[in-house]
Amino acid sequence: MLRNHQMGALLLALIFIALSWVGLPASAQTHNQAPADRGSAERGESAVDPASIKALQEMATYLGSLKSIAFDAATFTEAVLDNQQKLLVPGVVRYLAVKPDKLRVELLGESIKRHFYHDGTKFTLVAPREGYFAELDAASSTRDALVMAARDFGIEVPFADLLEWGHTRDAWKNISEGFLVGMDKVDGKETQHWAFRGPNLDWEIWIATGDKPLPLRISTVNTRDPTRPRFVATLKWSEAQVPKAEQFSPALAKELKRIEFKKAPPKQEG
Amino acid sequence: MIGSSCRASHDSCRPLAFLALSSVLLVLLSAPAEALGRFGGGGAHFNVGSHFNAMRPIGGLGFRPDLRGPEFQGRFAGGRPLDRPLRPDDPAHPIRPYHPYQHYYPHYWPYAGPGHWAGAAAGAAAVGSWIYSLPPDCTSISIGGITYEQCGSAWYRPHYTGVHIAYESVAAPR
Repeated sequence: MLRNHQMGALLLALIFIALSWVGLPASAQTHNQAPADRGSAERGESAVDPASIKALQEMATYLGSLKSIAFDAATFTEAVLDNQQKLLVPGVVRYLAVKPDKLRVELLGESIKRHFYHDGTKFTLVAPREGYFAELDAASSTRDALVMAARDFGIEVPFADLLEWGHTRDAWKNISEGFLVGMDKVDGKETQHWAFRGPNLDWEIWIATGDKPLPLRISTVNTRDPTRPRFVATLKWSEAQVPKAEQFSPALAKELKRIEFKKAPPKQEG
Repeated sequence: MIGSSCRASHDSCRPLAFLALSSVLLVLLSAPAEALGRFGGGGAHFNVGSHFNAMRPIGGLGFRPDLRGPEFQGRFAGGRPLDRPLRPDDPAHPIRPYHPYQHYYPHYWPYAGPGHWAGAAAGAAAVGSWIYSLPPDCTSISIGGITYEQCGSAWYRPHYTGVHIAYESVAAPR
């Protein structure tokens, strides 16, 4: 039988355990830090397999050697309703980039259609269904144009990463964990499936084995969002082609009306 | 059982234990909801590089006070702002009439569908307010290089807010 003071101590201990258990994820989110970061830091060991970074670097080197990037992607995005019910929203992205400053991305879904263009001087966003377009001056590389579009106008263009990987040294600096999940096949092709964690994002990539280490599947999970929505894309790469310049400027039909982008508030990183 | 270990002469320990346990339960239940309320999410992301994403803190929208509504935040800021804790008995989403060609993604970032959920303005919205879908039977008119949508006596000016389209209710330009 427990005496009163023993029971009191037990209760206090229970409360303390419960509080610390509850407090941990909440404070981790408040401080914007993935719990995994803290764990590996506390253990004082590296959770990043050097082979995982090497695999990324090999892929990046190959991507960086490509003059043009062309693929169609089948995508799935999780949409979260107010009551946290998740919906799976399919889409298709048709992607064509010629480095350093040409891009055409068509985002085709049942709920939304958008065409993004960068021709080296302007960034254009077309909403064909609604009949609108808007332009930004963007006399820069496409990579810089997309950073500007995200920072100043809240526009996220899918697969912007592919223009940066292979052209920047610090693309992987935020990775806190990385490991090989295993060998997987994507559309019948052998791949290595790697998993990574960084601030606010868990992500996976399936890289083709062999002499063309292209990403064949990419997945992200936004861990900053309490409902952790996922985005998955399976990429079907096209053979090298010689794109024509006019492919990167929209054929603006007369029916299309010009509108403006609303400036977004300053972004807070992390 | 904790309660059974109490002696008859210390009846007070039973309510005490009950109180203590309920407070633990309360903390357990409210903490996640609180976390949600403080931190309204960001939706799925297309890119690993954070400089390519459109993440914005909830409540960090600086456009105008009337743009801080939950709908606008849900669509542009990227979160689903929760101005109250979620409850298990929250009502389900209203059943919408079946329409095979119209999709229903009320809060969806990136790339929400047309503003089903926001509800088209019933009648003319107050000047300066924003809506996410137009009432039926609007005409697109360009005046002085600016595109307007005239819907009866109401006028709207469309903008991209991120990749979404939002309509600002404006005074008649002519």
